Amino acid sequence: MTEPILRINGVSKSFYSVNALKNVDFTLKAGEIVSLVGTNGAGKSTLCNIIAGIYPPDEGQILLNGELVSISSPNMAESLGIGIVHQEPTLVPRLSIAENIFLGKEKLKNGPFLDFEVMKRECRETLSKLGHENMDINRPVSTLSLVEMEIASIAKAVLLNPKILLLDEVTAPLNYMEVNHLFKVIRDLKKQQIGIIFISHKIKETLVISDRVVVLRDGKIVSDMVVDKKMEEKHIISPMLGVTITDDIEDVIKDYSETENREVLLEVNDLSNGKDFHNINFQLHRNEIIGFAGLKGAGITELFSSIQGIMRYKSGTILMEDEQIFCKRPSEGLQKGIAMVTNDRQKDGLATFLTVRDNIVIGSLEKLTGILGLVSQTKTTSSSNEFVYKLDIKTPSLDQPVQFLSGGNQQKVVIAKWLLKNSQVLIVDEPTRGVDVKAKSEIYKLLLQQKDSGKGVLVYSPEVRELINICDRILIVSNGTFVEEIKRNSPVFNEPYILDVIHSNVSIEVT
Amino acid sequence: MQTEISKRDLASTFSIQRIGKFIGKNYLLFSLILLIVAGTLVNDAFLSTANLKGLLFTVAIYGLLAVGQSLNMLVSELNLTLGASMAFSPILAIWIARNIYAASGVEIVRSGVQLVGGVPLIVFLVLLISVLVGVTIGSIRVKFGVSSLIISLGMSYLLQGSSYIISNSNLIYLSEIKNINWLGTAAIGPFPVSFLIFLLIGIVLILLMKYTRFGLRLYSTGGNEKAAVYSGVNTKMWKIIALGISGFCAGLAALMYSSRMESIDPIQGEGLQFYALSIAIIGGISVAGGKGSLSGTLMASAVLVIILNIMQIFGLASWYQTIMIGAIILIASSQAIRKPAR
Repeated sequence: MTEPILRINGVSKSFYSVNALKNVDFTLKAGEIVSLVGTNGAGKSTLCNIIAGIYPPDEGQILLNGELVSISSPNMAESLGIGIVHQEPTLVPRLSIAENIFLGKEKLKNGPFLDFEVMKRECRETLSKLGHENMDINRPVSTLSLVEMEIASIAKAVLLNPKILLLDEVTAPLNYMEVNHLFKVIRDLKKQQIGIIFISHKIKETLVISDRVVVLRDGKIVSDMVVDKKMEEKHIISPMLGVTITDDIEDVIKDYSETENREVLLEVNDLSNGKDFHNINFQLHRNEIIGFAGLKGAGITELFSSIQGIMRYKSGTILMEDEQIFCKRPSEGLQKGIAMVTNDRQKDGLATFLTVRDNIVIGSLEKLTGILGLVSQTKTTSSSNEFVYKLDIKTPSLDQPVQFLSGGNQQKVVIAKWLLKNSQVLIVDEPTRGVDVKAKSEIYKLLLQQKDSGKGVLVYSPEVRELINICDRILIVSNGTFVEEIKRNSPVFNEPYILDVIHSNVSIEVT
Repeated sequence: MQTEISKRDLASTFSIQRIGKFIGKNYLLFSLILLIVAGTLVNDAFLSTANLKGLLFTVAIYGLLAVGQSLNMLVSELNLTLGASMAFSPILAIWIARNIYAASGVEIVRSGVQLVGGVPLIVFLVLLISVLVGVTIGSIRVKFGVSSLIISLGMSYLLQGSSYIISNSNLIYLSEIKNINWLGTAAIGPFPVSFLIFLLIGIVLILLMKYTRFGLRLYSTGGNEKAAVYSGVNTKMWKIIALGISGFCAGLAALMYSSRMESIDPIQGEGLQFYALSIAIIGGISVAGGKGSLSGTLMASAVLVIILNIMQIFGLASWYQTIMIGAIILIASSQAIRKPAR
């Protein structure tokens, strides 16, 4: 048995005390295509970045062809024969394709002078290897389409004939034809005995292209399967998900009752913004939680933002308790009783330099006034104290800046802010992003409490299992439209079915 | 049929849109030509050798600082010490040189204000100190991740204050030294040597940007730092290099200025960092980094100085000139708004 070209032994990595990778073992043979799959935050990109030399592992070894190496920089990774196409665009917009491809490894002549001829020739050769010999290599990258940028990134990675190639979500912006073309390219590279690590959210693609599928969950490898003809998507999806919510949540939801007779709180009719979502119709009742399921980029965040007033919509109507509303800005949405927990708490959910107290009360100051209408310190303290206690926010004091709290506790502060506001409709976009298991279940308990107190809740989570645990019904969104509604009492109200719908609709769009 | 096509081609080649586009693309060049023509037509004094020499000398000083600032901006940094360094570097250099010579019993500053020797050492020290000022800003910038705007702002006050303290607020006169005014006043025809040096430096930098790795490094560092790092570019080093070069430009400008004035004034250069920034912006260098070219900066320095010069010939008070600078910057920036970056 030959030694694999890449062997990773017991690699761990944590960021700010969050474990991104825990004791991961991984191997890659020459001429093998291995897919890394997992939900967002499972640790795929972290593993890639360690192999790429972006940052070092905290523990563990990396062996190339049986030799122990420490990959301390992207340059070093490159010289060791590792080529990477990063998930985020890593091209310089103002430079041409050729200049980008040779950035950091320019060809020189007569001493320090750039050898444009050789660079352009090799650039054309590399592009024609990828089947894109017609690209104008003098064009600035800022004028390229998404696909062309992806091709340029791949050309950049394969320029130095690497032994190992990392492809981090290269197919994300591509359509079916382009993916097929790219797969041809990847198979060609495989024939040249290059070991390829392929990362994609599209499970079907991984089945088509890979020899082996490695599943990561919460920083650990939970499954390592050789792909054969009998393999189906569900074989990959089930280890991807695992158990993320404690069982007691499911007990809470047992007393589910029909929602039809309840009072309609929010009604959305034919809502479109012409781009991200189209013809959205639904009714949210009091004492109801509606889950939205779909892939990232399906338009759910935009839909939520438009209902609240953060974004605008083009056509359709929104009725709040039978009264038509049109929120042009977030403050109007809040006035009408619609609050939203946005998905990026660091960027638009919190003032991270401010204290826990300030962050909780910041949206409800008008309720916390004392004499002369001034903000009352006593009231802000007692209200924020109440929520810190109720939500079990772990903080040394109310005066702790939230930037020093853990992700889960930060998220609870955001939720506390909107609970204090006491809005009728609570919209929650990815409430558990980057939050550990325990905090997840606490956050969902809070949402259930909201429901029981007569509110209506809209929630999106990329983890369908979480939705299943708390929602009364789930609306599946694909490409900005509802494709299916599944009620809790339906026989197909289960994770495999919903995931199948989500993913199959994506492939329908692709094929 | 064929003639029809060629007619259409001809028409489209010379269509107003195309000409407009061409002018829009080369607006600096056209304004420069327009200004020179205007200056010549409006007043004979404009083309007089004396006026041209003065004008080109000013272009050299402003232009050098602007080129330095442009390099900083290309790597998404700023250096606000360029003005203060023009006084600080020569004052500190003379203080050091004086102490070195004093150790061997030679007094190079007579009666505290009159420089009488040690020029080669002083010139070397001026350039060294001014480079070090830039390198220091750059090092603090990359080591601690503080914005260079803030570091250089603080540093600029530090240098200004130190200049006054070291010099006891006195001017240092250079007039005793033979040919000290060569750099600032010598000319070949109507072209001052200082202007030619500036032009040479500008052209060398443009060529370096275009034909060596230097340009790609700077553009990628400012254009998308993450991409540059992933490609193995040492962006930290290139930021320090850019700031160092801008320091060098300030040092050279100080030498030219002091040579012409035959003195070193602790107030010299004050505020010129903002002229440098203005010229770079007018020349099309983006404050966000990674966009613009030095040829734009070279032309913009001439455009700005000529406008100011024409106003001067007309006897408009300096406040009008200040207003004009403001107006030009706003016009230049509004052009950037009209043409959104793709």
